[in-house]
Amino acid sequence: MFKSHKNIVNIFIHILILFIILFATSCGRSDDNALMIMGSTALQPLAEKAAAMFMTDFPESNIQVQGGGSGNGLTAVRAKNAQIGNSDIFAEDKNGFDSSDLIDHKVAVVGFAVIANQGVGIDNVSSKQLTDLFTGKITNWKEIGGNNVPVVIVSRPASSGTRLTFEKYALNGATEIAGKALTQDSSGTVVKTVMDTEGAVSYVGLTYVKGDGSLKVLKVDGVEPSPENIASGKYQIWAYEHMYTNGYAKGITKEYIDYIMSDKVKPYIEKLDYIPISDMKVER
Amino acid sequence: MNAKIYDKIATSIFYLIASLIMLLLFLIVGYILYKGIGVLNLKFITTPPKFMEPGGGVAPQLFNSFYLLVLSMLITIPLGVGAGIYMAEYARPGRITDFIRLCIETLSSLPSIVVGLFGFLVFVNSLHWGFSLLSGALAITVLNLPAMTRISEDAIKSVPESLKEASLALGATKWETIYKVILPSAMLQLITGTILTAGRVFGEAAALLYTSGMTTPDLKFNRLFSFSKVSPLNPLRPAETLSVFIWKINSESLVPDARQVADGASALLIIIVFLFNIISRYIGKMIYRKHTGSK
Repeated sequence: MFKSHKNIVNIFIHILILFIILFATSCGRSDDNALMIMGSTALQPLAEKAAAMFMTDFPESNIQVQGGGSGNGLTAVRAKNAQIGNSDIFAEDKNGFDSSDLIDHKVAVVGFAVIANQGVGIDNVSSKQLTDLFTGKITNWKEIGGNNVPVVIVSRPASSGTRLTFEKYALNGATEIAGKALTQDSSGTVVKTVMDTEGAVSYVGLTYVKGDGSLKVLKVDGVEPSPENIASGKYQIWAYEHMYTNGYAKGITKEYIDYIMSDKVKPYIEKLDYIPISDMKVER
Repeated sequence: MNAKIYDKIATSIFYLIASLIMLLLFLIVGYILYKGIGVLNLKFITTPPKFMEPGGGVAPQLFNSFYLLVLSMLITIPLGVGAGIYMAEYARPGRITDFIRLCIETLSSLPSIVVGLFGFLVFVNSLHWGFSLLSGALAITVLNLPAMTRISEDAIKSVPESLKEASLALGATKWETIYKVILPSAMLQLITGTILTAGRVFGEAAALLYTSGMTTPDLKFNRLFSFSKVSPLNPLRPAETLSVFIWKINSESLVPDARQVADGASALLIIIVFLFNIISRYIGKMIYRKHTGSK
């Protein structure tokens, strides 16, 4: 009995010492090769793809991309918890936010599509109908020519850049009706909820709209949310994808931003359904 | 006559409740296993997740879960057993001991997301460790410490007084008694309790969301023991665990087979928790047999 108990304690102490050694040697965060990016879920796919490509080309680097929404991205980069904050909105547009330290880098343009559940029965809404849908004035799809299904609004939290862009450009500044919408934290869950809920309507970055027809994309005023329509300005619901840094970008932060704006990543901008800024014929 | 009828009714009600509980367990676990078991294969367990293509796996997340468990247990066990020894052997009944007990019990009823946010503020931000295994391990320690303390205290208290008295009578000091007599006798309960706690920790997600992060670097296992920053054993790297991965893939994922991957990962998690429980019973039996020489 004594022998067996001594062995266990012995093994335990040895493992403890091993970990202390390993810990001591890997201590001290290697800031030069680590990059933390947080923020918009609409920009997240492009940021992750560029990060994966960057880490393949530069194996010693370590880039982490998290979501959380544009609001969280801006807060994180200002508090220096992340080196890059992804945002769908201009930092100046965020209420009560001091953006004087932040430097903007526009990396792409993202279009936002109005999506609805398969059973709603219509393919096109006018701007006015869109505003009425999201402010709660229209409560059943049959009121605008669809099937007899109640309207279920799926929304994002107030800090979401996707939501702020949508309210500004699609609803002409009107605020969504409070207390009646299902709120989802990220673009991915919005897609899932709309696919599973009858009568659901929402808005999401084009990247999340899969081309397999499982999600219904509504035209707005007869205009489809295609890259051509967005570049020419016909389709109004779009935003710049910003990568904000606290102060001028240095070191690996600067390398990453240069990388994502280089020709290497450009084919993926279109592949992931973003629009290169150089293609845009209108500005904001 | 009446009493017999009441007795029969009461008995059948108790049987009914027990069967309801078992039914609930089988339904939940059965559903998860049914949906996910088809996805589990060797490739799933050994390949990392893919970005926008189907066919990814959960290898790094699985490694992170185990490694995080080991790290947090390394911190929790000494602290918890020490606290248990104090409460069982040295604490005198009185106001201070009552207060300590109150603190421990309050700590155990803290919501895990609150502990996670506390970890985010202190470990990730103020101490500048960033999202890391160490922050996650310490957050889990906060959650686990009360359970560990209670387990050790019960284990030590369950050792017969006569054993302790005999040791002291033979001239051993208090510490010698604890170290050489009481702890070995309590070893069985300590080990089974620890493994059960470990199983619970394995499934923890809320406390890890904002302490160990939702991303994991490309783990290069061929440099496992090198003293380098990209070693998978580096405790200061972000580490997405299996449970956090399940949450993330359900909310933010772009892979076309997100549903299958989530089902497979959930089934894997449940199977591992089951294994923890089964192994703890087996080890318990083995130790008991060794110590008492019975079958």
